[in-house]
Amino acid sequence: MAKRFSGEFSPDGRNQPGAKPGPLVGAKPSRHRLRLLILFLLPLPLLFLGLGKPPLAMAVDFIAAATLILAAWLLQDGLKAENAYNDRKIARRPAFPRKICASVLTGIGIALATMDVLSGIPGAALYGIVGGILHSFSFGIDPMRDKGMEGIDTFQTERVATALDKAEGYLAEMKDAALRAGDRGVMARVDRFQTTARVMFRTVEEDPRDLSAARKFLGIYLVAARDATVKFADLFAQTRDAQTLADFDALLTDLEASFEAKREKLLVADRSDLDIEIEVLRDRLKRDGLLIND
Amino acid sequence: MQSESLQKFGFVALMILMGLASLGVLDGQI
Repeated sequence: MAKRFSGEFSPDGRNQPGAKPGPLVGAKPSRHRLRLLILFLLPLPLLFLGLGKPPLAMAVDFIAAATLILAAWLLQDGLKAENAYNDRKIARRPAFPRKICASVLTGIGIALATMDVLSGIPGAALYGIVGGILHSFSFGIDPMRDKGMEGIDTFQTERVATALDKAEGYLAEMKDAALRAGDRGVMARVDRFQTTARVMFRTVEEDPRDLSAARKFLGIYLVAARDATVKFADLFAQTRDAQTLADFDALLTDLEASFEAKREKLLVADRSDLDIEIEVLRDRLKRDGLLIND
Repeated sequence: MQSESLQKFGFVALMILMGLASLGVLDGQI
């Protein structure tokens, strides 16, 4: 029988008091999805029409279609990277400018597609250039500058980025394992845990000095959570045992609580850093006789 | 930052160009 996907009023719905917000809270919808689809579909006629042409023209048409599809794929990745860049407060520019490459490839693809005979090259090149420019107009170019890197040790940020990448990897593996359990509730539970973990990631990202304090949480605990999820998923897929599910749920709840607690502790540490700074400055002002009302 | 309408215009033009190119309408033109 068909199941309704976790409606608001379902038994496990989100309408219960004290329920945590869903995993998608705060996430932005990805833009340009329809446009991307169109870009993937538009080169397809080339493949069919190319079949009726002489071999050389057919080859050129096929290459044109491949180039255009590759460009659309690069653009898709580029847009994803740009979204990630926009979501973060501290971000580096992409190492490989995918959107710019997509524009160039689109130009080349259009030029190849409009090329008929060798004498038609200048015209085809013109179409290609126009196409490339239009492409970069409609999708923009990659973010070319690092963001929020002022006053931050690049080395530290690099370390944070590496640690967070690894941690994200563990989360991805965890989600993958949870899929195997074949249960919607488990998926939702794991998603919720991941949201909590990501909140912590952002905290560390905002203040890279927190990394050494949080390293255990980004490494050992996440690895353990992943391993537990793998074992649980395999077992649960076979037995559907409610007790196992409850145990797993309790484990994730505990982990969530400790992640939250650690995050708060990190914020408190930031706070005491600030207090010390203020204290020092006040002392100094007092010594220099500039602080009057004290 | 580009405005939304410019993006839209750019995309529609690109769509038409790519469509005509892939249908072979532009072959050997100009």
